[in-house]
Amino acid sequence: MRWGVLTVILLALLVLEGTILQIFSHTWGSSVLPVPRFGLVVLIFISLYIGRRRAFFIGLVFGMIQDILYSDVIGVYAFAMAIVPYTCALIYQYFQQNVFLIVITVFFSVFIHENLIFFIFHLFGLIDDSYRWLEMIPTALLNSAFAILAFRPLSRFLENMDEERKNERA
Amino acid sequence: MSNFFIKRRLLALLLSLIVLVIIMGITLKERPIPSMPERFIRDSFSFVQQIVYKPAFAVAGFFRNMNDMYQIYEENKELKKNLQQFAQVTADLNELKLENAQLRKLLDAEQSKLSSYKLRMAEVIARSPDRWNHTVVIDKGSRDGISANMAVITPEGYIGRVQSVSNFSSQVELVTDIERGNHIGAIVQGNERIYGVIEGFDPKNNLLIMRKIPMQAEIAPKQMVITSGLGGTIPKGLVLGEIVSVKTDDQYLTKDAYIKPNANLQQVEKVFVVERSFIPPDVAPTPADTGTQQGPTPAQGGGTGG
Repeated sequence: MRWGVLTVILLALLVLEGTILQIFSHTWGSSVLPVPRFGLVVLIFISLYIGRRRAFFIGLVFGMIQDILYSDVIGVYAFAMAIVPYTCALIYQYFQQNVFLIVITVFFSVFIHENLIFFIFHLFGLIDDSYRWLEMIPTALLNSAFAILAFRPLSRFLENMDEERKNERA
Repeated sequence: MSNFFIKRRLLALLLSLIVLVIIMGITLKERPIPSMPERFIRDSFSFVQQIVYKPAFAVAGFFRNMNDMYQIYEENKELKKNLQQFAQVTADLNELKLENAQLRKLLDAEQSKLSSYKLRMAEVIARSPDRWNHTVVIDKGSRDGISANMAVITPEGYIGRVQSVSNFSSQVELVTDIERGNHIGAIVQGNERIYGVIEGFDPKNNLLIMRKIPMQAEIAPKQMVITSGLGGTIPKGLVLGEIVSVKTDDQYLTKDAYIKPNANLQQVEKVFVVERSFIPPDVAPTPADTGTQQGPTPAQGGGTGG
């Protein structure tokens, strides 16, 4: 049941990223566009609350759907959306879970994710552009803001889910 | 499975990296018709995107209109000024068209096939969220007679070409995403036709770069650029944009023109897919095709040269 809800949330975010959020970000027309990566933020939450290995496989599947929907080359987002939440949880296991640290984690993860995407595309000659890391900061900021907004409901939802899972196992 | 991952994490990571590179390598090339599962996913998502995109666009349009209110007075004055010229231009155009038809009749010259085409309307239903893929998704696919490499325009001008087609949706590569195989033959409308190729994009200033313009060609800012219709599936005469600046290229052999796209690529809602009536052959005929014997000299020359 809860997995179903989570799947619907992730799929909905995937659709929103390509439609509504695009319209509004282009309407306000600034030169540097922050890119919504809300799916990735949710994946990071999943990896922190439920387990990095599950997040890895979910990220792989959703990254692949993202690849198929919005680009022509398969594998770039699948790789990045699997590896970033995984590494994120791997590093995070030494810290306590609180809002501040999680938001900072999201900030850096999204930043690293954007860099990773850029370099993979660059490696395969799909971008003919110079590397400007400053333009990736607005993206990281936007997604951190989303993490702040989504922290309360999402963490509660995932904590319940994790407990249920443990109860089932016990 | 999980045991394997714990024990041989490094091995698993390396294996998955190799698999990634292989999959990317396979999918890297142009695929006009993607594989079955991809088409299925794209089509099923396109239904949802369609439902979400249209109302959202309406709401966004409302806010944009509010924003525009402030500039309406100035804009109106400007437009009225243009409109007076427009009447004269329309009259001239009609006169020239008539004259052109009469002269063609006198010469027995037929209408050029290069510029004739058929239009199909489509609506944009999604847009790629990242900055590296300049892709929009439209709601017409192979069932509606759309095939790969067709040109896509708005009433303002050329915006891109169809990159891959599914049954009920297709992906359009915008003109700003100049990759291999997306170069467009173009004409600068000066005192004479000046040919060049659009093959670059300057993301900082949002300008298209037109290269291979002859050095002696007289081009200047404010001249219009249209598609040339030479080669490929893009007909002649689609508006690309206006020249903003001209530079000599690095080798001082040709000129580069920087072009501001006429169509608004940030806000695309309704587009037209252009089906060209005249499709040029894939391979241009070469002298070798006529059956005459050719000496082995070119191959030998290549061998010694390397």
